[in-house]
Amino acid sequence: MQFLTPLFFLGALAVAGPILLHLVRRDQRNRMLFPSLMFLRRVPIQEYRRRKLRYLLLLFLRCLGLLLLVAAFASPVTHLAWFGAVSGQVSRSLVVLLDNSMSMARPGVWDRALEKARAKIRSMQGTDQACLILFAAKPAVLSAWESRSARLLQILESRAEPSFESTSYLEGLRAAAQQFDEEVPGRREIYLITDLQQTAMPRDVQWSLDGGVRLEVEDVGEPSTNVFIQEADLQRLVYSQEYPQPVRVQLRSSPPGSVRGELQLFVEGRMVDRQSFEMDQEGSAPVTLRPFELKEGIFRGRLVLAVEDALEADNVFHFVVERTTPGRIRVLSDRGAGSVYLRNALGAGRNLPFAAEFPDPRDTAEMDPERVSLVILDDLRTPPRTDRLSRYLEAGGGLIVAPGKRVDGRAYNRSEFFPARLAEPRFVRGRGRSFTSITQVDWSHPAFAIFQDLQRTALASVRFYGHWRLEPRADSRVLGRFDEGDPALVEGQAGAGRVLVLAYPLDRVWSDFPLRPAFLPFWQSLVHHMGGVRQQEAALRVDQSLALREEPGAAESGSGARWNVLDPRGRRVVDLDQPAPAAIDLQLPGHYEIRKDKKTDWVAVNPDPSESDIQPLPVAMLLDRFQAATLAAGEGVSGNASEADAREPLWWLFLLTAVVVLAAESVVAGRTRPR
Amino acid sequence: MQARFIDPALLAKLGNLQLVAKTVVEGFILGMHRSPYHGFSLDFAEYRQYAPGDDIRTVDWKVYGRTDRFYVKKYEGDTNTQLHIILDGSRSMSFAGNGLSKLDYGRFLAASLAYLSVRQNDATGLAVFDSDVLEAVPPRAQYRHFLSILHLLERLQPGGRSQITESLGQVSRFIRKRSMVVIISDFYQDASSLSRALHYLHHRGNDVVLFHVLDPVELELPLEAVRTLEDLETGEHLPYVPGDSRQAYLDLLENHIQELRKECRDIFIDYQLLNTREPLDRALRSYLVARRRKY
Repeated sequence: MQFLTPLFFLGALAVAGPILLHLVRRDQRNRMLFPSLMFLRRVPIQEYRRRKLRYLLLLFLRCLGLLLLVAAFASPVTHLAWFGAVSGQVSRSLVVLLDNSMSMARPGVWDRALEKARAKIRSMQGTDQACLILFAAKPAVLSAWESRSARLLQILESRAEPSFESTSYLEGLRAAAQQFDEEVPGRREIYLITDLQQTAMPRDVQWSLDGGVRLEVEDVGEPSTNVFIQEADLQRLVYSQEYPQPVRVQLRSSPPGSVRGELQLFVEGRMVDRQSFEMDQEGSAPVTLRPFELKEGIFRGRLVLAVEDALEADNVFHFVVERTTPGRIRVLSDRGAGSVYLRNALGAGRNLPFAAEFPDPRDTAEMDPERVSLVILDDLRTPPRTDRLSRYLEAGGGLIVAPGKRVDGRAYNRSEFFPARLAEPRFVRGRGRSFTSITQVDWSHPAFAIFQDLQRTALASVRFYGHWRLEPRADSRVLGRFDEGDPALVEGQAGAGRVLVLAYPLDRVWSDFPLRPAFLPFWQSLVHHMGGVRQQEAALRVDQSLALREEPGAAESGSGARWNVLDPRGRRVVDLDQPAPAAIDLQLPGHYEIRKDKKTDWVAVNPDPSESDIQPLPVAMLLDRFQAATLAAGEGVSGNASEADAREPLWWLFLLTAVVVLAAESVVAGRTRPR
Repeated sequence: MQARFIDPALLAKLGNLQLVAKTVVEGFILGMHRSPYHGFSLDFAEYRQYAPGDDIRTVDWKVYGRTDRFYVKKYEGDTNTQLHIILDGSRSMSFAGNGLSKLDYGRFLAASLAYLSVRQNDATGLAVFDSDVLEAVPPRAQYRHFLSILHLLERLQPGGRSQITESLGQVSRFIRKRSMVVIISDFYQDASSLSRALHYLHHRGNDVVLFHVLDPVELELPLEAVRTLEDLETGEHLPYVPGDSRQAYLDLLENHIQELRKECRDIFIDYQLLNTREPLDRALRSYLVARRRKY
């Protein structure tokens, strides 16, 4: 118990009042000389003592009443849990925050965590309340504020189990702190049970607990070694008979140490390769597995680590490969084979998702989006037959226009599906400048996704000596502009298809772009986007979402296809009687089976490799990180600061007791008064 | 107003102890209708032939002239009685719950007895004690000696703690022949221990009269408020709460009085309980009854 205004205790000197009064009344006012106390001494002793005790009781009550009044003014506060039991107030609001990430599934760790949680819940006093939160990458509140420990234990036993997600202390603690958003009574405490992983600490997020929340961390981890697949270079879509490259796998051990083992590659349950490995001193081992042959179709694969370590769940890496046919790109050019630079750009690399063809520009018979995914008009004087091109675009085809000096702008401008009018060619030379650059870029566009941060200067350094002055339509989107503000790339929608108009051709007369390193990745990215090339990963991670609906509103209208999704354990994820959700959470490692329209697809899911890194985190670092604000406030250690805000005022209890004591004093005084 | 009805409190206002004694005694004598104590009147009773040792002043010379024999006059009440007044001068006697202290009352009583005794030519002595014998005047029959007694009584101041048993032992050494011994005290002493001292006096042929002087407050304990009582002799404090304590006290006091009365009766000692609020005639009457029994 503490007193916030202890100076009021000077008022305790008032206690001298009744004592002096008592003495004065006894020794002076009530004092009487008597010849002899010979007989009074023989008055039965019980009677005498009772009288004496009554007087002492009176004095005691008076002094106690005054002291209680003084103490009430001194603003007493308490931290004691018993006070809550006496007063009926909630003395503590406790969040039991249990880490159920994959690393907690290590032998013994989860049992220890449960035991700690049970012990904490059992330690609740009569008026404590608690809520139970499981957390890994995402938090799950298992119970709202509950004061019955038996109920909490029941929930803990029935619903708490390790997951395959990675740990995020930030998400867990935020969820715990949200429980205190509403005014909860009593001391606010978070009891975090975790195995303390370094990788679970946030890096660039500045967030800490409120100063009034006390964080207690229970470390249930234990030293152990875990080997895991940090990265596997796998592509889902394969456009050739053989997997296009060796499978490169990066293995790691945590903590670093020399570990030996074997990595095995399985496709549809058949082992296609195996390699032994030995970790170096830094706990790293690259393993390369040879390519394997594939037929047409979708295949489930696994990389299996044959090694004894702490975690079994991350010893298998699931993936899916799909052999398919590359899309066709028709390049129409008056120069026959078109731009040599474009041809080289579209043909460079392995496992390309498309195949470029250079037909006669007047041959527009094959303008079916089912067979041709993209059409490129490379400095073509006039566009193909407008009706066919229009139907192609309406059906969802893609079109890129790269006008050069041969282009008849008026012919292009007669078509309404082009997002920009070709006004006139404009050359920089002769205006005091030799070139211009694209400086204003809409980097959020998928075509520019390859230009990350510093690489963006690669596009800005391209010199454009001349370009068509484009006049964008109102509903079109300008993706980039030259220095002087003229549009450089304009995209528009035409039916279900897309049209992109460049302001420059693909030769090196108008720019030096074809000679730049950025030319090839830019065009491949552009073709992926405009050609509608599917972007699918060989494997997803636990806690990622998988989108199901392709058309917004399809499910609501009842026109959407029926989905049937089975998780790796064979349990149905989507209710067939209900509209399919927009997306499903992938919670288990393995292969999800997705059926739609009698077609079966597979999605591979693996744990986040960061969760496999079980290097421990010092408790102090965790406390410092999330209670930084409290420490900065200069209130000493975090525990004290939080307790300071969790104090229960007791002045009213002291005042009430004083009233009762003084009332009792009146009663006793009345009975003591002589008849 | 007859003296027997004179309030002791009024006597106290007289101031002069001699006047008090005369007032009390003369009033007392005048008030008697038929005095059974006519020996006091100094009336002639008989002649007796002179014997060696008789006071020559008592020879009746007229009878000698007619008979040529020496005869001495004998008067009624003319005795050789010695009266020893033993007054308790301890601090407890200074208690004055009713305006007049027990010591003053005892002082009046002692003076009156001395005056009464001197009037009938009894030798009268006085001893004052507390835990020890403070002062003593040996018994003499002269009136001048009576004045000495009064002088001692007037300058008497309350002393310390009362030790009656020990003091009576000392006083008894001064009493050399059969005398009347009047003890005036509040007798805060166990009756059994007091009885031993009284036995001693009685066995030496003395007639002992106990005047147990108590204040009305002591007798009735009319305190209605909570008090802290302080013992006059020991200084001890004791809280007093009216109610059951009062009755317990009165019962104990009554037991004490009854014990004293019984002890006195067993050894033929007169015991008289005196309330300082009452006139002194009862005490004088008790004394005369005792004296008559002796002579």
